[in-house]
Amino acid sequence: MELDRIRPIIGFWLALIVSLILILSACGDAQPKTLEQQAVEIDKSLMCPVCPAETIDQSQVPLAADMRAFVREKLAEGWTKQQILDYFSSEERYGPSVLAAPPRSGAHLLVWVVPPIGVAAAALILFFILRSMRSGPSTLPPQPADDPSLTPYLAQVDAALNPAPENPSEETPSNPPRTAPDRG
Amino acid sequence: MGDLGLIAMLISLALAGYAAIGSVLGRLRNNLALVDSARYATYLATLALIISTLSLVSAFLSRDFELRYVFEHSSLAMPRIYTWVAFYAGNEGSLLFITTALSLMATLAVALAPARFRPSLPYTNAVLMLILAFFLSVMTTLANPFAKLDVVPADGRGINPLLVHPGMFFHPPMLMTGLVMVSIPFAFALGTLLSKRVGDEWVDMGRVWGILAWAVLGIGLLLGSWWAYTILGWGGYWAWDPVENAGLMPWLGLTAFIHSIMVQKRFGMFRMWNLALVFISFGLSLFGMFINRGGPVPSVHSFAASTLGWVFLIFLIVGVIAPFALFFWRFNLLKSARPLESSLSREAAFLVNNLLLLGVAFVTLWGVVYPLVSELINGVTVTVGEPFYNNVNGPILLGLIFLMGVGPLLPWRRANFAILKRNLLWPLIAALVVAITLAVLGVRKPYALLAFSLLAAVAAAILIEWFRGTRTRHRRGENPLQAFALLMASNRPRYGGYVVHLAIVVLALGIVGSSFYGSQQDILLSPGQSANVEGYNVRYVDSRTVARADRTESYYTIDITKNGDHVTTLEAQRTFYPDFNMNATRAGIRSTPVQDLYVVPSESREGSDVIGFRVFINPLIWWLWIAGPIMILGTVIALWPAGVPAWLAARVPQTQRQRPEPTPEIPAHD
Repeated sequence: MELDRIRPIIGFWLALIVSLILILSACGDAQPKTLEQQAVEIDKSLMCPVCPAETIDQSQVPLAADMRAFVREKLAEGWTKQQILDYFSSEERYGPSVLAAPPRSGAHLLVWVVPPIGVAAAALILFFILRSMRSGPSTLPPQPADDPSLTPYLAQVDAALNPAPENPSEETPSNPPRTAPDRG
Repeated sequence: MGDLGLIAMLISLALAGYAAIGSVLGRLRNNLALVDSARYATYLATLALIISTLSLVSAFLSRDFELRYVFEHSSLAMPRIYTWVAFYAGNEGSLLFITTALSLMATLAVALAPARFRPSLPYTNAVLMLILAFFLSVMTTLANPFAKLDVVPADGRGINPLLVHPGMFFHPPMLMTGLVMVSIPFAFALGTLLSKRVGDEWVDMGRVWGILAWAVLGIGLLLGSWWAYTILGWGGYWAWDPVENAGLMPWLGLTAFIHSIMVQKRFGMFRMWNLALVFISFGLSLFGMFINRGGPVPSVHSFAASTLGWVFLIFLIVGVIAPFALFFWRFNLLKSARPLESSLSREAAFLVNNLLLLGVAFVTLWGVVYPLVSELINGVTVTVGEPFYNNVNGPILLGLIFLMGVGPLLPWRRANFAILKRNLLWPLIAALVVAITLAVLGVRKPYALLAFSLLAAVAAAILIEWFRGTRTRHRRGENPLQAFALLMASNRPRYGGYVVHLAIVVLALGIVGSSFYGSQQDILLSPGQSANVEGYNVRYVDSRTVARADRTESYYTIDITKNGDHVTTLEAQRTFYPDFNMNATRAGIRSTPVQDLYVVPSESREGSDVIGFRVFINPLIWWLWIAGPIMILGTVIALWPAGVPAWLAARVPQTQRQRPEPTPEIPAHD
């Protein structure tokens, strides 16, 4: 089989590229994140409580500016990202809806697991469909005949389109049969 | 003028109703005259809607504040040119806009359909007219753009400041037209099912209108990103906002459709699947309209918010259930004309591409509706925002780029080892070279490295294919330029598709570069002071303020130098609208293919001349905007009617013309 001859080659190339990228990225980013970079990351995971669908990083209202200042203050005091997120999303503050995405634990694990499961399930179904299509009938299934009640209508259409009865083709004068595309 | 508009709308509704009923009855009773009269009713309904649209435009131009809609969305201070924007700035007007756009497209689709569509066209027309009648009924009862106020005010409230931007002239109309245009391939698909002629007749029209809707929607999305980038002042262009998602999802569905329809066009395969894809795309576009019209999720873009949510929800439910019910009813008529020969073929790659595209659409849909699910199940309100989409959709999109490179290299039907080796070798080498080069230059983030390598492979694959084709023709005696042009002309759907793929590569380059290597910094400066940002010296020179009737405009001049050399002088703008108690900013941007310098005034303090600036350095974002024109070019090539243009063909020596193409191409029936 052709497929069997191709597989090792594809596998070789894929392995080469993936391992190369892993080795390269293992060398890692040279510089650790600055405090400001960490702060921006936190800004992007907190929604602005008073504006529709904007993070405090995007929003320009005073409350967002205050929250950004708070994030920087607490980071400087040594709080972790999680501590700051927990602080804002506690029930006494703004509740869980202030987080730009639900936490990957507890009740909201659902939002994270459904997509991969869905895509994997679809891939599995696709695999079986492909297999059944390959082993499907190798002859053309007969195209169903037109509805018998349709015949007089089509005859009318044809008559309206081609006044000259010696040309029963469905092509109209406005849509003449084309020559091969290359010859224009 | 308002009365004329309303009357024209009612006439249009009556005509649409007549067209829908007349064409179905005429078809069932074999009455060609009735079918024809229904078709003319479609044209007349469009004419009536155009009159209605013009009467709203003239109400805006004559400052007719008796009309509530004109009062709410314009003012005496508004420049008249913004009438075009004000027209669709609110719920009622945007409904009138999409209705008119739909009727124009429906008229074009019905009038231009070739004669072989005659058996199914009455149904197609009826479906389109039913959709049109829905919009018209909503406008005449619940959201009348011509509703009047009891007292005529002296001045209007004015246009939303965020909408006063050149991008607004094109982005909303493109997006709305694109969303509503999905109805056209949908109507052809449904027409074919209703008429039981489930062969491949509808494929040509479905493909052409599918690509058109796809292109219009895509350009609308890109213009929307550009608008967000220049005016929202956060240095980004896409935030997975519900309204952005609403436009993206049908676009993904259509992308899947315009790929897999090619397989049906050539081989009569995937018949069920293509119908399903059109129905899914249509359902997603209805979902988009539902979200835009008072849907249940908050968004920065919802200017047309309304209480029409429930009406559109019903429309959405009917629009999804009805076609799929018919689909399963006609299921036994939809068998493929040919079996799949190999899972290593272009057809199979198209199916995997469909899977991934629908995967992204599904993840996005899930993210949009999850807050509602959570509210129903747990009673807890949550937000599903950017981090979710980036984490979940990111890997799938990378997979799509990989397929975009590999798919076109696979031959139709089954791959052959020699062909595959020949086709895959150079792209893989390109990927390796780029990966190593970038790593040496200091690009170390694994995702970015992988993405750049994949993009290099895709671009190399396309360019090599072009090079080979051109070389073959050149050796036959054509000059290189002519050879290239004739190569493109020899199989427009394919080579146009390659151009679009290049546009996607360029687009992805911008997205990957800016999202992995963008940086930002907030600085506080008084005039004359400067700060250091990523090696650039940013100096706030001065500001000037211009007071206007409805707003105060402040302009800030910023000088940027690097190592003592002057780089650029930017002017950023911040405008305060007292009537709206709202600030609109316009960033000062210096765009180069390497990176954008983006400065936006983010805060000013009362009684102090200190201004807060936010400086962004966004690498490669320039490429994002370049993708648009390339995409349009590719679409035009792919859709151009078959045949070599006369001026080009005339130069080909006679002997060359008779020679068959190296690759057999699309049958000439389109």
